[in-house]
Amino acid sequence: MLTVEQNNELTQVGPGTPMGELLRRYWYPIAFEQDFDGVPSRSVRLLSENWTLYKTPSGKYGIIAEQCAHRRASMTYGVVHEDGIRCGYHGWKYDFDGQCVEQPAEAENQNFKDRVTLKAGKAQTMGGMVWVYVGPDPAPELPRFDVFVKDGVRDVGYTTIPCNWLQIMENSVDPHHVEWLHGYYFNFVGETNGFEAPKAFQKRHIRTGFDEMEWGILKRRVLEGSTEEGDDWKIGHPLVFPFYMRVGGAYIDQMQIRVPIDDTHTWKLFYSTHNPGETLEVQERPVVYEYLWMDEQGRFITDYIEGQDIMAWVSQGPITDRTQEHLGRSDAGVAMLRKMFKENMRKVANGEDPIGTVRERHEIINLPCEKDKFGAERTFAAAWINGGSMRYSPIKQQLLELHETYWAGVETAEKAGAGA
Amino acid sequence: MPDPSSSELAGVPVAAAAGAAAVTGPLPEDPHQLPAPTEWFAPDAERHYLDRPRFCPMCAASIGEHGGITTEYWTGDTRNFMTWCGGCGWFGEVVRFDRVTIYEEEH
Repeated sequence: MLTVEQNNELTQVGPGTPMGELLRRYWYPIAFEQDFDGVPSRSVRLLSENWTLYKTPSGKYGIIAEQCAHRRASMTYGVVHEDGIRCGYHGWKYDFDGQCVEQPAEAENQNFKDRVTLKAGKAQTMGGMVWVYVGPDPAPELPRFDVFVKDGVRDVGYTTIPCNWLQIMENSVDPHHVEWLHGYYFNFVGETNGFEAPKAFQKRHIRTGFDEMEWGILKRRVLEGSTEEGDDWKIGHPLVFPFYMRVGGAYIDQMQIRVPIDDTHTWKLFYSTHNPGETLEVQERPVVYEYLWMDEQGRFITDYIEGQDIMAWVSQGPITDRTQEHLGRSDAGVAMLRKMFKENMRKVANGEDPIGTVRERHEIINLPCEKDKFGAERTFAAAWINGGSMRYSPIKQQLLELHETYWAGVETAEKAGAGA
Repeated sequence: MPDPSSSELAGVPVAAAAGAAAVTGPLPEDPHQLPAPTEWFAPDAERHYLDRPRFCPMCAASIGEHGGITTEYWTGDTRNFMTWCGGCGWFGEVVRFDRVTIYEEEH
């Protein structure tokens, strides 16, 4: 259990808070490229601040505080230029660094504009998403994690969840919830509603392990019927500090992204890359879809994996009251994550780069991630696509066929090999 | 990304957000306030706060004053305090117990 003061420190993301200052040292995806097909600018909210994200005619992106410094009109309804954005109200123009460079109604022989700036950040694209950095200069490099840049068929599920991002992150260092929430409970929901829940998630945990590593915390598990030689232990998968989790298996690679919109809202994305070794059609952009988590009666939709997770996260309340929690030994990963946040808040306060800061240009950052997930192999891809948020993907059927074609080919080759 | 301050809060039906807020109440405003006496865990909450290590076992720095953290978890009757010292970086556990119990590995 934490004190109220400690809980506030770990969950408040606004400017000037210790966690807010730490989180401002990282790049966040905040929109999709297709969001700008019809409009040049959009309002977005990140880390408890409102921003205008805009795209110039040549394709360059910028991000600036939403309210004009003059009379506070929204910059989202401004005029986008190649070298910045101009407020629609009185024409004040700001460059990409937020410096006011024109005030058309003011006399030209004064330096008023030189003394006016708006907060501004950096913006660029990767993997079909627009990423922003709103922290202090010099901005680190945008980390090119493998899932976002490797070949494959990509789809991205998204929704906005009304709870603090930390309770989602703590779920990522809580391996045991899988066998209960996605195993035992999923099975109960299946029996109640007349469908068969995936068996892969029902295996009992024999051992779990957590290692601090350069990108966060590597999570390992041994499940019933497996050993420490299995991928789940030997390789594991990481919580990527401070707002991702990398998962994968059966030729699906996924990054789970939790963007802190503010203290009580999180933009939750599942970015998946499917690459089972087939010849793939090159996508210009990932397929983007919204997944559902609440039905018309206001009940959580709990007949799929991520819907179950969202029930568990949101039903804790907008911000989990950790003064009331009772942690057990199986929650050691949660305690470890809180320590990592505190440690890196301190680094930032001391002027140091926190963990995961990338200062060198690079092509790809490969993250460790198991391939044979839960020992399920062929059945895992279909179980994940049908039993997870990908069931809402408009290309769900194509994905199922893509994976099944691959596994059928493997089976044929094995039979031929055996026959030879 | 949707803007939660506007009607563009995609994926969060108004009823959904309101329903979620009703699940638990807001945090107490006073940062030093303990859980309300009527809460079921409250009777020994203060004890748990008071029992946690206040000084680093390695360098004796104050855990609180140096930005460290102690998180308590339980193993049966044993109370484990996972502790990180912001002063020297020591990371380990301080364990309180009434009886020393040794679990023998298979041999």
